[in-house]
Amino acid sequence: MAQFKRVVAVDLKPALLDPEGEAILGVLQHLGFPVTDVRVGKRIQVTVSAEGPEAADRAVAALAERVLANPVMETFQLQPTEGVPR
Amino acid sequence: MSVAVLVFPGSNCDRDAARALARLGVKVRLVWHRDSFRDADGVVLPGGFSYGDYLRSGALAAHSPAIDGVRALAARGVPVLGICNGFQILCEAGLLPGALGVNRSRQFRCSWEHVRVEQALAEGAPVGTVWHLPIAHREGRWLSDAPTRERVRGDGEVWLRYCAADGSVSDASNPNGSLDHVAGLVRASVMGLMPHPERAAEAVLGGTDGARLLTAWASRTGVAS
Repeated sequence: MAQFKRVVAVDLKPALLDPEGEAILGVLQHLGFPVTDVRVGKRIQVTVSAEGPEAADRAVAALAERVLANPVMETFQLQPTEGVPR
Repeated sequence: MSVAVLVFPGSNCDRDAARALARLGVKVRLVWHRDSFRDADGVVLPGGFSYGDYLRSGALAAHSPAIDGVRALAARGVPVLGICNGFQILCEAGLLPGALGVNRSRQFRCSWEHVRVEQALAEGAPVGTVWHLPIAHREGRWLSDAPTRERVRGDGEVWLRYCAADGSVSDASNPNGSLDHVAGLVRASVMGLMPHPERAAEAVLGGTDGARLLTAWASRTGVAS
């Protein structure tokens, strides 16, 4: 089986307060940047063995849903993998 | 007949919990997370920073093989108690509803708080009992989506709420911004709370309400002497 790299972005749900983002927003505004919102997320790169690119997408979606993101408070997205070897 | 206190890499309240239970006459043993505890009559998931709290607090421990063992025991009705990081692990594992996010204040809160019993689970801990217990956490703000919140309320899964010394509940007595002032939850035999009863189990520690809570819990395991 071939190796496939995928990037998973994990973000807090939009409705949820992001205390870390709020803290960064405060600092940026203090510095005079015209910022009105900051949200902090995680970017996780995984390499999986799979039969093909579609199977790799499915495998990564499955592990992201079960482990990488907590559906109570987070969402995840498989990001475009430009620059990342497929 | 004994209570197993699980030890994950990064647990740091395991010996405190074992000592507090042993002082109450409970037969207790520390169990490394890779070892078997299938014969346990009760399981404690102690506080700390399991697996460095990487990814999210409790997230990696919640997917470790030991949790399959906890799940199997819970399915048989064996009492399970998660304290602080242990509570986070139980929520991440789906054994308790919702999740624990970063405190509203953004600060690590280390303080003594009052909690009120909302579900009577043993003699000696009737509804309305107020305990004074220490908390120490950054991710202790209980969160859930609206349907879950309604179900938790309807099913009586709120075990403890933050309150004032007189038992009254308001935002002023909520140290972390938890929804519905939740400090602890219960679902069948599985219970979890953010405060640390084992840190309030001897007068020299500043309080003994934790010993009362642990006595009530241990009475459910049948292991107390």
